[in-house]
Amino acid sequence: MKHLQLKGEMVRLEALNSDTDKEVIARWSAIPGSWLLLDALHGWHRPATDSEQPVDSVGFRIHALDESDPIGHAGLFGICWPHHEAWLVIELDDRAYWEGHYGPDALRVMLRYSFDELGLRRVAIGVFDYDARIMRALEEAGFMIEGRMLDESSHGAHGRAGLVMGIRREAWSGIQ
Amino acid sequence: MHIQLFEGERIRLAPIDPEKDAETISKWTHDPEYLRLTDAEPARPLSPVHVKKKLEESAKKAEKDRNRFDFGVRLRADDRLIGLASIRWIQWTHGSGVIRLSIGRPEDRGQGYGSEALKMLLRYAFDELNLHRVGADSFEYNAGALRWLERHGFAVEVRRRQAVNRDGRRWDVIMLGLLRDEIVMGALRDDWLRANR
Repeated sequence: MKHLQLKGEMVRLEALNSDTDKEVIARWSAIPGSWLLLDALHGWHRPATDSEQPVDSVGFRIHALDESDPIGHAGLFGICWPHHEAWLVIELDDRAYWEGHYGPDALRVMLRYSFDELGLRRVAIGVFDYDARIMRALEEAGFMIEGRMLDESSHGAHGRAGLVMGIRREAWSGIQ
Repeated sequence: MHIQLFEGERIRLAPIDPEKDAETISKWTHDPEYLRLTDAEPARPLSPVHVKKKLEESAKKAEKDRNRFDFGVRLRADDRLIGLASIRWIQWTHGSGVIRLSIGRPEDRGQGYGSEALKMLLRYAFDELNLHRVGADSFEYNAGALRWLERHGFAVEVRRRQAVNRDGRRWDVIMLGLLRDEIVMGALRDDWLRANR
């Protein structure tokens, strides 16, 4: 058995709790983050910590190593168990951490959790096509563009396309 | 893609209606043998109101936890409820679950309804929920059920020695399991292929 780490080189993840993290969740919900397309469509801010296992979503706080205040949040939502698929969201709410590889590191940790612990077979993510930096980070992690949602106009992104990118377990295993 | 999940030859897997079905299920609970063959809880007859409440509670819990699927077993001929079938304690990450199946009235047993329901339940577990393994358990004194499960491909995995105390003696609880590959390769293969042709 591999030793599961909810920790990368820059960040560690901690389970979001719907009771104790109310304030944090409210604060995040009010911030227009960078990856909002699917977040807005599905609204995953419902940590399912009072059920025995993740029902259709699971959420984490992202902390920089050795810091107690969270710098963002990550989660899987719309988990479809019979087919072992889910949507991923990662938001670094604190802009100070947009540089310095915190995002890609959180992405690595979330993928490890998705595939090694939850046993998912495919993870998808929504991103805007003007978000070149994030697309590059996703491609480096093994994501591929699966489709475009044309004329996605939420969040003032008129004329921009929302992209769906996905990664399959096999692709992820290949680059580990 | 055409696959019939809920309609069998003589029975169907149908929703349970707490309002309408409570009366029928309540009658089954007046038969201690039914209770003792299916459950380790102290046997006691339940009123229709009590049954209704239990059905509503488990439906609510199933909705919240989404790790359980309950069906009523109904005769296609007259829609009469003859039994209960469910897949419970699903651990989605591991693709495992446990089945429970009971036929209420003694005169409805031994007619092959249970076997038909079991095959449909397994098809649902493996083909629709894409589970990898299905467990079932029964008691040492329910030799009929144990033989029946083994005939359908289940293997005895765990024997919880003397876990149940009834009629002044202790009995083992037997836990069995069936893996996805085994149903394709094993005893149920012909039925399986026919049904999925």
